[in-house]
Amino acid sequence: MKNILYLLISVIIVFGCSSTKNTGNGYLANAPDWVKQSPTNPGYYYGVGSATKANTNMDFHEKARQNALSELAGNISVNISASSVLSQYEYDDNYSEYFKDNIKLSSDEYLEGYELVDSWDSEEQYWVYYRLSKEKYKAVKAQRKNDAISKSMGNLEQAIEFKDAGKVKESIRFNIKALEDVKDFLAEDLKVEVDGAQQAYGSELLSGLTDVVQDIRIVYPEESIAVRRGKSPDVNPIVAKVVDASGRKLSGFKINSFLSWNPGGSIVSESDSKGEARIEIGIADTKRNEEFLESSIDLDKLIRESTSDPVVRKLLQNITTPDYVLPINVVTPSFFIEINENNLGNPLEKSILFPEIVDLLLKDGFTLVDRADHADLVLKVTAITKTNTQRNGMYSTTMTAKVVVTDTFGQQLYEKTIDDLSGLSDSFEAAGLDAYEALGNRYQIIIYPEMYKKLFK
Amino acid sequence: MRLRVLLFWFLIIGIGFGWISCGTKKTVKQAEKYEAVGMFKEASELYYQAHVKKPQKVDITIALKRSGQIYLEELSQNVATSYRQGNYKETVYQYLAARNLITRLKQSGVDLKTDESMERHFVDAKEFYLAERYKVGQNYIYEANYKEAKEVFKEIYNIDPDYKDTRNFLDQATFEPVYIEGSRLFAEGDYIGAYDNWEYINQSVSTYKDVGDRMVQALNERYKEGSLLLIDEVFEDAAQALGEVHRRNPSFENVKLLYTEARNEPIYRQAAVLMEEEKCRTAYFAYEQIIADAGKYKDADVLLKEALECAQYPIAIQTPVIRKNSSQAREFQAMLNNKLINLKSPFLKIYDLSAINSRLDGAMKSSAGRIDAKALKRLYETNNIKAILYCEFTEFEARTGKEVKDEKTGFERQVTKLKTGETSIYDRQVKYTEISRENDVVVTVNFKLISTTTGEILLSDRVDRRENDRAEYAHYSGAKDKLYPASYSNGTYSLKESGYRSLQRLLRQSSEIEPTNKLMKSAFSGITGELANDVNNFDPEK
Repeated sequence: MKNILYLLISVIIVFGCSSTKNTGNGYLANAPDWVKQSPTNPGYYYGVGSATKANTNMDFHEKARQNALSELAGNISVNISASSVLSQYEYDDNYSEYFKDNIKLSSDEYLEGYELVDSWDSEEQYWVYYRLSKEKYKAVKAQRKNDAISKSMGNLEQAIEFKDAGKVKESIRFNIKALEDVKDFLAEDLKVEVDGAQQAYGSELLSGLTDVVQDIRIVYPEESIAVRRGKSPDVNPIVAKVVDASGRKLSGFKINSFLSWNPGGSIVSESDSKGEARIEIGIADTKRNEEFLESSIDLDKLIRESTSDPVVRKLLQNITTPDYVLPINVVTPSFFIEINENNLGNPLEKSILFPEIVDLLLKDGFTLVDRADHADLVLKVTAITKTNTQRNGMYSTTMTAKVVVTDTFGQQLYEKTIDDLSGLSDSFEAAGLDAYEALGNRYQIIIYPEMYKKLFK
Repeated sequence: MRLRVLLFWFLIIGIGFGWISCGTKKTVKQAEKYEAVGMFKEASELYYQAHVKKPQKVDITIALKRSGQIYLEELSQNVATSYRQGNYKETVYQYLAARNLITRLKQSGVDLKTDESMERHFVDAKEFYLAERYKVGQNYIYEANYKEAKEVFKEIYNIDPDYKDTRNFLDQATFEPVYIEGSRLFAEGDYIGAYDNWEYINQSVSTYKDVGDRMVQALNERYKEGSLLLIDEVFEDAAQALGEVHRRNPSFENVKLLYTEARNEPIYRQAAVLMEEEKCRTAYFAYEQIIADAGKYKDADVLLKEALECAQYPIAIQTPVIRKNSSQAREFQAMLNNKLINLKSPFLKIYDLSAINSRLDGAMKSSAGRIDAKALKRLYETNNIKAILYCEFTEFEARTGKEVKDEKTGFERQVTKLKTGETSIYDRQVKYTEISRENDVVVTVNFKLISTTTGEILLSDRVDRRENDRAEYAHYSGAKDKLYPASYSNGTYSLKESGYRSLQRLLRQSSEIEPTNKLMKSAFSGITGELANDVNNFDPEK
């Protein structure tokens, strides 16, 4: 009896839960032919789309429609004409593909004239079938193209007027609008007649815009400036002027600048009604003697303000604005080094600290002079050693040292006293020299970085 | 029985299988619910979990592909939308989520159809996003905000490890704060702390700035501190400092030698003082510790021998007396000698008093342990014996028990199967014997360790042992397995079924019993062992 019970429980557990509901869909049996197989008729472009009836973020009717139109658009080939602006400006394949992707994304406009042929429901899915007459598509497209060019030329005319009036910012905006108008046809040969001659309109638009942008100049008040290390310029901020090719002041232009010693730091300024932009320079926190300030017009912002169309934005990415560089001569102070090293009452014959101190200063771009009255800064080190203890052939010394930096007026800028160093060796004299080695290490690891920070940061 | 075991295992396997099966079914149901309300991310995740558990289920694979594809399309749409909006960060992360989904499902054998434009959007957005983040990271580095810089460059590295100089900036953001912390600790005089920080960097990027040189400098400073402490004979602190250096670099300068000295010199000096105080045994242990630690240190090996010689403790064992049992007394003494020798104490030397001074041995025997101080002193002077071990047997009894027989009444049961199929039982009243016997030994020894120089009793104790053995069995000459005990009531015997098992056990019991001489040996062994340990543990210097 017990055995039967065991068997029964096992069978229930093994097979009771193991069957799962069929999660697949076997619904195509009663579907119309266009669901089962793509329709064919050379006079039309077709698009068949479906969507599950599950509640997606989008209504499933709309989802199916989009899928169908996407397929329909996919069947229309987009060719990049050799004389189109895209070919002439040598945009890469990536951009061409991107252009094709995006032009089809605006399906409703792009596929104007499509018609609903049929729809079909299964229990779980909704199917829809659209088509577009090739004849009709061609006619609608030609009409759209003419309208677009006409609208674009109106905007271009405005842009030229603004440019002539010295209103460069407005001119750029209208130029971009003109480009936006014909964006769907940029892959094609856009010819317009100007004064009886045929012109490539797309290229005309783009080169016109490029010229306007590249004519904007940033003029610094000086050809170069000098800044002392660890200080800001004496005249700060620097007032730069933003002008056009004729030297007319331009207002409302954002300028992005950076200092070469902090390429990640961005200084943002804007030209005022006088065309002046104030660029604030921080302290020259650098160890190089030659640095620079680099400024450029924030074209990106201007483009973003003028158009939200990604195709146009991407097209304009290739227009660059010149970088205006202001050389900065970083004036590095000169040092005079004075060292008094005394080991057990005797001056050292050969300095231990001097090479260490000189090496660090030269590595950081400082200059050394041989007279105190010629130096910007005087670095004075005084150190003495005394005997301490001995045992089993080991001898130790103690050291007292002082590092002082003064300026040309004798004002003390930095001071450090060291009294916790000792030397160890097989004689007192050698132990004294060992203490100097220790002072050298201490100078390199602690004293010099501390002194540098205090004087130049 | 075998069937039951099989069914049990079938049940266990069934429970396991059922658990997975039920779990998967529940997961699929949840996934279907998510799918029904358009939550394809959650649905595809759950279908994925179910697919991993049951990859052979075609329905689950199809559902995973379906919901995964829709979720991928959602992500692809998000990539396109965020790109159009100029939200490059979102573009990048939505694409990475999509790529992760594609990879994960591909590894499970489910291929999704990808939209090529998604890759193009990503490539473009990545350039913008990383350029912006890179600048932010550079600025953090400039501001010495290494924590934030590390986060930024880690993010860039995860998206594109080869982007510009990301690897170097990530190293700088990671190691610069450690480098600076090392400098801070060095400035505070925590040279080992500084060393450990720089060492941490060195293990990852040995070329980072001057960490290699700095490690040497930090170690050298601590080495000097230790050496100076050693010069000042502050041995404990010196050992601490030099030990820290030694653990990090055993071949640094002559740290090994100095560290050995710092550890062992105070012990060496203490041992010399102990020798002067004639605490040779303690000194011996100190020298032994030095040699175990250093191998060779100064003349510790020579001094060890001197200390051992000085710490020798010769003991003479007085021949114990057991009234009328001289052979057993000899056996006891031999056993005690063996036990003491087997302890292998470097200090104890065991002598037989009768062999070196039979007169004194005899005198002590006859005077029941009373001490002649002059004779003891002579023993020390003549034979260098430092103590006598005197054992007195205050109790010594060996009882060999007699057999105690008890005749009992029982029943022998005869069972016969009749031709009619019935069973006939006949219980015949019989006699059997229950026998018992017991051997018993009791020994008590009082011992004293008596100083030969002062007559002082250095150690005394009483050790006793009781050993016994008992045999209990039954004897029956008839058919033993049919014998039952009887109970007696109102003048009649009746068969007592409940006593059958214990009677059978008695019938099977051996009549063998340990003889008293064996029991005595066992008692002697216990006593001599305890006594030898007491003597061995005795430290004359305490």
